[in-house]
Parts: sequence; C-alpha cells; structure tokens
Amino acid sequence: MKKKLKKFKSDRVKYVYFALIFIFLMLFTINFVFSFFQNKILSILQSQKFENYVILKVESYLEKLSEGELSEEQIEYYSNLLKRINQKFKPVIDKLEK
Amino acid sequence: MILKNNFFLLNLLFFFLSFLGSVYQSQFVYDPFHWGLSQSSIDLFSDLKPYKEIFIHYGFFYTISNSLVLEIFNNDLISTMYLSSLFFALGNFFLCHLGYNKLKIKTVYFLPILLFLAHPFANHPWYNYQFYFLIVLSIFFLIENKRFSLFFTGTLLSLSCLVYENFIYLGILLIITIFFFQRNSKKKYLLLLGFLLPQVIFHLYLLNNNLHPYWIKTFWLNEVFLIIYDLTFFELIYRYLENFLTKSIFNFFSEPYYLLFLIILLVNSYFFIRFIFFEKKNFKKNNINMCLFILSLVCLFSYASTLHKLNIFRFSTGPIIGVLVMFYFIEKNYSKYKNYLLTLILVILVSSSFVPIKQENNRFFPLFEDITNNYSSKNLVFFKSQKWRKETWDVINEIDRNSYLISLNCPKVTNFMNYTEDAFIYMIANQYINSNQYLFWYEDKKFYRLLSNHFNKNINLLIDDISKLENGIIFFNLKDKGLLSKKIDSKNFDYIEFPYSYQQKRKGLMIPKNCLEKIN
Repeated sequence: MKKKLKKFKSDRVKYVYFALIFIFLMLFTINFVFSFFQNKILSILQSQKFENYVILKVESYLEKLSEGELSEEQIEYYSNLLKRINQKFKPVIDKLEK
Repeated sequence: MILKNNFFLLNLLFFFLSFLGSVYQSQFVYDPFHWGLSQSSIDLFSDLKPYKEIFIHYGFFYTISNSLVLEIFNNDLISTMYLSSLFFALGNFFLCHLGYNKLKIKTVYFLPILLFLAHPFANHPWYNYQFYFLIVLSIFFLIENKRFSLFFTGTLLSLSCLVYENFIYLGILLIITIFFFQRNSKKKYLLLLGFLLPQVIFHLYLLNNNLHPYWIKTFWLNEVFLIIYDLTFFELIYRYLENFLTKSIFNFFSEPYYLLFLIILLVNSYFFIRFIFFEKKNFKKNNINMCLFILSLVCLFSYASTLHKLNIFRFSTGPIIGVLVMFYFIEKNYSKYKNYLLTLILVILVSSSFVPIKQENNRFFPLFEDITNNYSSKNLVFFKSQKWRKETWDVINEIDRNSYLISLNCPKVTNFMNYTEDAFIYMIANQYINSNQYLFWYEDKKFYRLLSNHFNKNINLLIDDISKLENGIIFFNLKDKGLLSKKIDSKNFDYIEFPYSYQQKRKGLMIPKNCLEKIN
C-alpha cells in the first residue's frame, strides 16, 4: 500500500501534466470546430446566395402581410406604431420633399 | 549530425510555411490604411523630395527598400508583402539557427513551431518585419566572431535604426554597450565604423538636399501620438502595463500568446538584472552569456515598439528575440522538466492559435467564401495580384474611371483631395491628378487633424481653395457629406456617388458642376 502511495506521489507531476495536455487538446478541438463554423457562417452571411435568400424572404413576408384583413386590435396597434414611426422620421421626409 | 540536419529541415519547413502562407493570405487582404503607405515608396523614385513633399512615416531605409521591390514588380502592391514576408520568415529562421547552432540550446528544437504559432504570417507591409530581420542578423554576426563580423553588426544595427528611426536612441545605447563589452580592442572600432557609415551617408543626403528640418518633423511624430491618446509618457507606460497584465491573465484561454510575451519580459528582466548587479565578471568571460545578455537587452528595448498598441505582430517582431533567453533559462533551471514544459507551452498555443479564423496573432485569415469567389482584375497595376470581391472591384474601377475622365476632360481640375481613410483612392487618383495633401488619408478625426497640423498642412484651407477656385475634386465618405457641404460652395459643386461595398462603404466625389457636365 505504501509502495503504491509512493509511486502515485512520484507520478503525480506526470498525471497533472497529462491532464493539462488533455484539457488543452480538448480546448483546441472545441476552438477549431467553433472557428471553422464561425468562418463558414460569416462566409454564408457575406455571400450573394444569402443576399438573394434574404430578398426572397422579405418579398414572401410582404406578400403574406398583404393577404387577409386586419382585426380591430391590429388596426389600433399598427396605427399607433406607424404614427410613432412617422413622427420620428418626419424631419427626414420633410427634407426629401424639399 | 542527424539531429542538426533534422533541425535545419524543420527550420526550413517553417520558413517556407510562413513565407508562402503570408504571400497567399495577402492576396485577399483589403487594408488601404496600411498598404496605402506604399505611396511614399512609389513617390520616392519621382521628382518629389522625401520628408518635404513625401510623407515618410517610419524610416527612410524601409521606404527605399519598398521602392526597390515596387520598381522590380512594376508597382504591384503585393510585392511589399513579399518583402515583409521574406524578412519575417528569414528573421525567424536566423533566430532559430542562432539558438540551436551558435548558442547550443538544444530545446530550441521547439522554437520554429512556437514562433509559427505565436504569429504565423506577416500581416502588413510594415517596417517591423524588416527591423526584426536586421536586428536578428546583427546579433548573428555579433556571435560569429570573424574578422569583419562586428562591422556587419554595426551596419545592420544602423540600418535597423533607419528602418525604424525612433529606435536610434536605443540603437546608440546598444552599440555603446556592445562596444564596452568587447575584449578585442582593434575589432571593436569596426563596430562603430559599421554603425556610423549608413548614418553618415543618410545625413549627408539630407544635408545635401536641405531636408533636415523636415526629417526632424517626422522624427518628433511620437509626441503627436501622446497628444492623440491624451496621455503623458508615464501614463502611457502605466496604461500599457495595466493592459498587458490584464490581457495576459484574463485572456489566457483565448489569447495565450500575451502570457508568453509576459513570461519573456519577466525572464529577460531577471537575466538582465542578474547580469548587471550580480554576475557581470562571470558573464563577461563567457561569450555565450554575453550574447544572451545582448539578446535580453534588445528584447527589453524592443518592448518599446509595443507601447503604441498591444499588437501581436509588434511583439513577434522585436520582443520575441528574448525567447532564446527563455529557452536557455528553462534548459538551465528545469532540465528535468524542460521537454514537458515546452510541449505544454506549444499545446496551449495550439489550443487557440491554430484555428481557421482571423485572430489577433493572424489578423487576415480569409473567409472560405473569399477564397472560393474572389478574383483578380488586371485593370490597375497596383492591385493586379489582389483577389477581392466583385463589389470591391466595382468601387475601385469606378474611382479609376472617373479620375481618368476628369483628368481628360477637365483641364481646370489640377488637384484632388482624399477625405477618406482609404489610401487606395489616393493611389488611384494620383495616377492622373496631383494632390497637395501630403498625407494619403484624412478624416475629420483627432488623429488626422493633429497629424496634419504637425506637418503644417491645413486641410480646411485646401478645401477652401478648391471651393473658391473650382480647381479640384474631393473624394469623401458619404456620411461626411453634411460636413463637406458646409465647406463647399454648393452652387458650383455637385457630387457623384460610387457603388456601395461592405469593405469600402459608400464613397462619393465632390466635383465642380461644369466638370461633371463634361464627363457625363
């Protein structure tokens, strides 16, 4: 038992060392995978394909928005919303009209 | 012998990896602020006078070496990156060679990998890379101990002071230190001769052309930077140490290279203090210790180049020299654990540096999208090797087309102004039209205002002249249109909008109305 304890003590530096190596290799794997996907995602966001997709999506939302009729609550809500937007951007609209 | 050959091959492998990687990566870089400084190198071979009419930011030797390489490659801007990459890779190669073969530090076997992980590729066509190579080579000759090696040490140190002119104080201090520690009294005068020769040639040239007053202006530029940061020198040092310590400790997992440079700083300071106060006599007898002392001195001095900003490319082209002292320290004091310790350092560096995205230690790792879709355009000589996005090329070509048309159709327009941070605009327009701007970029910001005032260039007066005489055009960021409209007479001037791009944003051009009619 004592021998085992002694051996463990003498080897503990090695255990700590290998544990650290393992931790940092794990960290490397995580960082590498994360960075790879980060690069991929940024590439997608910068691409023409994504731009086209966003335009199509906006078109689709506008189309959907134009369908059907508004309820009383929606009319109230949207008129308040547009009123506030109109107030905020009034100086801009006035300048454009000049 | 086999080990020695293996080390040489390993060192060579990382030399090519770093050099070729830097060149490949730089094709995708759009960095008009740093790359635009090449305009001084282009102007140097014209009739314009350096310092007086050409803005020389860091050093004459840096500018002229870029001029030579631009001349060889027909003004292709990427050639300045070839030079920086070569100097960086060679600096690393000689540093490893010095440690392994001259100083006999066996653990230097790990060094090529460590240097690569700390800063894999040259990021800018900047003076630091040339400075680093010259300093390493000067130390290499210092330890060579051959007939004229001290002469070459002096010459290379002098050239490094001409690459980075503000290093002159520390350079002289270094020369004096080496001079007094040399035992061979005859040879040591060669060191002084080697140092003085390039300096005398340079100052004779300045004297002959009456350029000293203008050179001094550039030499005192650092004072302006202190005003820009709104700090005294001691406040700058305090803030630097505070930021350096914070980054080293709290960014350990994301940017462990800061901790590496902190350890290098501590080990070199320890070595330096031990040498000066405790073991000067013992050290003086031993040539290797002398060389290590000089290495630690250069390392500590070169931390000054990082005061400006905590950029890894600055650390990796100066303070990194002290890594040899660190390796020596580990080998001497922790011989039992040296391999474990160095492997751990490498694994820690790998964990966050070896990743496929731009990071502080490699600021221009390209996006996968850019690698697949970017392309070259041979339209402009400056950028013929660049691979940029279509929208970026559209802006560049439009600026080129308009500048050309204006020079062709509007003889009254004799000068232009670049009121943007994009120095490429200056380069493009300067092919056809002159400029009195001196600096290649300008924005309504404290940095540019102070820089212009330092060189007695009043940008507002230049704009006034253009407005009154209708003899010029102004490139500007569209967000500054309101600001410029107040300074320019809107009755006589109109503006053109260039296409939008993510990298350049929306740029515009203020142009006299009569000229606009002619080019439309």
